[in-house]
Amino acid sequence: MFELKSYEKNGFIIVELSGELDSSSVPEFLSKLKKIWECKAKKIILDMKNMEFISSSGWSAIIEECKKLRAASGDMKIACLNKKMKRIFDVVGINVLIKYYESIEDATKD
Amino acid sequence: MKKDTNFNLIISASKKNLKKVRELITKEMKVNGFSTNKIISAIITITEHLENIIKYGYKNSKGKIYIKLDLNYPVAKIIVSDKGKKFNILKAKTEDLKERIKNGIGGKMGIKIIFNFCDDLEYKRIKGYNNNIFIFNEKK
Repeated sequence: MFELKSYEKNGFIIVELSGELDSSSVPEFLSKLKKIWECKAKKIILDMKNMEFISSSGWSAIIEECKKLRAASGDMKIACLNKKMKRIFDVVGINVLIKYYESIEDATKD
Repeated sequence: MKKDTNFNLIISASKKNLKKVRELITKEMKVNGFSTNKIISAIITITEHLENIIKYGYKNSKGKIYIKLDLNYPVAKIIVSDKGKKFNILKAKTEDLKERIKNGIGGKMGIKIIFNFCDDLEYKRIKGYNNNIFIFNEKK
């Protein structure tokens, strides 16, 4: 099951994702995220602490949303990935586009 | 009582079935003593492979995918067969995706992830079927 909740902190929208993000849940992720950044601030931090699993379809959606956000003068950061998901993040090279932080605190300070 | 070590599952090539496969792998590998670390490696690998079969092998049209689990601790073999487009994963090129990602373009990550998370991989084409054997070994 995939879930998405959001709240504001220090001028950022913290988007808490939980569950599993694969090609079956990507459409739901995209529509919910779009609603957030269309009506609220465009600086987004994806909080992954409750995210169990992200497939390459999920990562692709995140990458493409980041590009759209930046084109709209926004930004996207990622925080709190579990060990395996962090390994994918590094192995694939997502770190060249999106900054990673160990905590939401660190992400909001930078 | 002797534990079951062989399991078979046939699914239609649909994104909706990815979770069902992950649940089977998680449950049966756990029962057979595999670590959470290996189980997660297996579900990451198999999800990537299934997403590729659905998208490229069957091109989002109808088809069946056959999954067999052969669990003999410390080695788990997961055999995935499909009748989609012929594709030898062992001959696939893994490219450096950094430039692509820097430009905000996704895709092409699946095979790189598979090679990084499974310990060994065999491919056989038999009677029109792609047969991929993914091996996860606790000793590796």
